[in-house]
Amino acid sequence: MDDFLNTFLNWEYIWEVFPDLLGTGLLNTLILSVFSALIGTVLGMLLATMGLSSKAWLRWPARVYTDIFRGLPAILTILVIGQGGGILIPSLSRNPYPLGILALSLIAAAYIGEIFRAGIQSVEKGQMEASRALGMSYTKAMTLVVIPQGVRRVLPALVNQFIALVKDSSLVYFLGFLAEQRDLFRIGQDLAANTGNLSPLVAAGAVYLVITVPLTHLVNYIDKKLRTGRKVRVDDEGGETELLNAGKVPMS
Amino acid sequence: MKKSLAAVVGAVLLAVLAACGGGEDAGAKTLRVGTLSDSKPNAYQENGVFTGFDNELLKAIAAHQNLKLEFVSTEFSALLGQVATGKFDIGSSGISQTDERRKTVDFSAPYNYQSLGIETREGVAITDENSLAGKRIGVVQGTVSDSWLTANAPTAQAVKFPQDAAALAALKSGAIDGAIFDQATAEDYAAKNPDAKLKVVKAITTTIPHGFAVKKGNTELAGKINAGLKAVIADGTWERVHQRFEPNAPVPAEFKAGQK
Repeated sequence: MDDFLNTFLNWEYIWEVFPDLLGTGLLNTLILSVFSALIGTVLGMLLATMGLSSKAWLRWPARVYTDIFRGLPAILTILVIGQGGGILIPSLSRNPYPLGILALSLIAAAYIGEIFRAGIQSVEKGQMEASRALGMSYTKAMTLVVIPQGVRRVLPALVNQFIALVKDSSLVYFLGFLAEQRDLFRIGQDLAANTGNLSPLVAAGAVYLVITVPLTHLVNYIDKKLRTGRKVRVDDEGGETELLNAGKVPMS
Repeated sequence: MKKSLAAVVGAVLLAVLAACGGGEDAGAKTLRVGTLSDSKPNAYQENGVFTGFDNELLKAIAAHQNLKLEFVSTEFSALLGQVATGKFDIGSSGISQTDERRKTVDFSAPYNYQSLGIETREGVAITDENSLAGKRIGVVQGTVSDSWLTANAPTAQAVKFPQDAAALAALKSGAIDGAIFDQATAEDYAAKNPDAKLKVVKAITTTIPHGFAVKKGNTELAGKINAGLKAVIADGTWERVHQRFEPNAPVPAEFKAGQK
């Protein structure tokens, strides 16, 4: 038991690694994951709508893209895009961040695209039919009626993907980091390699939890809000004073 | 119904755990050696066999001392921790005996010094450790190269990679200006990549010795390794193994045949 505690919870090493984790690692991990999440979400939405299109020349590229980027080990994609991109565009090869973010975004897009597709497909056909009956175009019906409802339903799955992205961002290290470019995991691993003690990695893990746990709870809160809408209060006379601005209608 | 399902799952898990535990008891007499699969020339895997200078030397020591070895590959940053907790009896992968690491494990007597090579591409103005300033230089995290670069060329931009292959790819693509590898490895890379026009501009012998790591307080095993090491140095086995993996690196006097 002492061995266990000393290997994973040696306060001396945790204390030593924390300034670097918070000063350097946290920012770098956030830069990598936030930018990839944003780009990945935009590309993912594009892939989802392409995949649902009735036109084969839109559907097939999305299908093939998703199969490839979802099917390859993330580390391979990062190496191919990171190292290969550097060969094709030498000006990018000196800094691993732009190409690393691109690689992470492309991988995330494949997963996020499938999440969006599942959400959009879960919206009842009647919604589209009713929108078209009201005279909306297909595009308008999708963007104003179907997609918003679909996205809302898959918010928890989407956040799952963001959390995976935060953790996967450490793989960009394969492209080579300067000391001040290191992310959380690498800073922990550096000290672990020098000391032979795993406590610095446990400390890094704690900082990952600081990012990911609030994310989970935030989405649960938003999800609940969107499902139930604001409370409707009725005044003494039975008049529904707040009904008109009561917010969203409860969803199924 | 639900309860009985949980009971069945629980029973199966217990059975699996018990089966795993049993396996370890049976092999208690074989020493488990933690090593790396990708760290030439000290420790690597070839055709499914763990080899390299350190592992072949350890095999010779074990043969001399009648020890049975079983090699298992791991990650360098996890290796010493695994030796400290007893998952491995011996750690073998060109581990430098630093004071920081002595807090975690004990080491055998020194059995080698790392020879490093500064590798660069043709046309890059790097000739020795003094011309590294301001250049992007690749090293593998936590290795001798890493600590050597920090100590001897503090103004170089150290670009850290998880393993040799990633650093080599970056050197070839121009993402870094040079890299510090093990000398034999560096020469091997230059020979195998003629298109990339790589060259080893300077060889450096470091002064921190390598040692096999054992659990703290395991003086019995450390003693056996040291006795075997003395014997394989004296009978010339050390030099033969060295010739096989690091033919161009100098042989320090203390490891020459006939030394006691």
